[in-house]
Amino acid sequence: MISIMFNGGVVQYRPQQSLTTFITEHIDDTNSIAAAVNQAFVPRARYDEIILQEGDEVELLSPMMGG
Amino acid sequence: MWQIADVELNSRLLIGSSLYPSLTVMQQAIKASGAEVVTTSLRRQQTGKGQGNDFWEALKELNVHILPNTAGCHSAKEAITTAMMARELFDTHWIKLEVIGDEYTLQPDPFALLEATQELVQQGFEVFPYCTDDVILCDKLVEAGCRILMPWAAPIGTAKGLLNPYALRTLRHRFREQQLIVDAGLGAPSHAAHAMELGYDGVLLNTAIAKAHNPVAMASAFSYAVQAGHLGYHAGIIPEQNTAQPSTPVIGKPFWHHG
Repeated sequence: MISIMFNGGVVQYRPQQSLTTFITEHIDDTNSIAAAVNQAFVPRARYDEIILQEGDEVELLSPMMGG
Repeated sequence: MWQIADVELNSRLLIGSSLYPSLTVMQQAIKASGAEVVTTSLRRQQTGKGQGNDFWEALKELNVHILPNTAGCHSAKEAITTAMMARELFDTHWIKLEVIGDEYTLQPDPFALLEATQELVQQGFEVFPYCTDDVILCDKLVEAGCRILMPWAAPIGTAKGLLNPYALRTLRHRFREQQLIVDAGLGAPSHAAHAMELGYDGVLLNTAIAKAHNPVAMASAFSYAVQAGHLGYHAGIIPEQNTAQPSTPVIGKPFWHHG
């Protein structure tokens, strides 16, 4: 297992998994999120290309109230 | 009708979606305000399955233009990444660019704001920069490609109104070609009217409506105030003077005795 920093917390996750797999397993509505890995934006079209590594920081953001 | 960022709008009031007592009140207040542009933010998705996004569903029902912000960002890099995520998430190239430089006043960091603006304009964003009323900063933002400037009236959420009308008036005189929106610090409808009477193109606010005792009625009040200020500015406000001038004709006054 590898450690992934996910939205500020640590989760243990299987190695050699894509960002697509990670998102699918953690989020219901995958259309209403945007992703960043290691503080860099990852366009939706590139989720499959990203293979998560030990210590990666994954941020999944969704629409929220704002002023 | 007026146009901002290539979109035609009826209302010159732009409104935030935060701090309302409920989503229903938020919807009713946005409708009552007549605003067609609503600001939003991006926050961490709640961990775990079964987490819907009621807020987003409620907002989508209103069929308004979404103006996502970068609230909470403290560096150009954070703001740029957030803007890129917002573009994909909200399907818009509009971004209300906020880069906070001081936690106490929430004052924008002008240097990081400019750096982020330069990068985002290059990447095709329509940047709505939340800025101070500093004419040099605004000049640099325009140079970087901003067609819109959003100077603060006062620190966010303070409800103090226009702290420096002189500076805001100067910006209006200096930036004739750009659209100027007063953003942040308003508390009363009269503050919005004041901004519009200076010739501003619009007003953006959130707290003054959302935290009012009756947000829906206050939204309506701000709508009228913005219209009144806009009409007043274009009607030509008379200049202020120090000496009294009678408004009733003096000639023909009864009981007049020449000494």
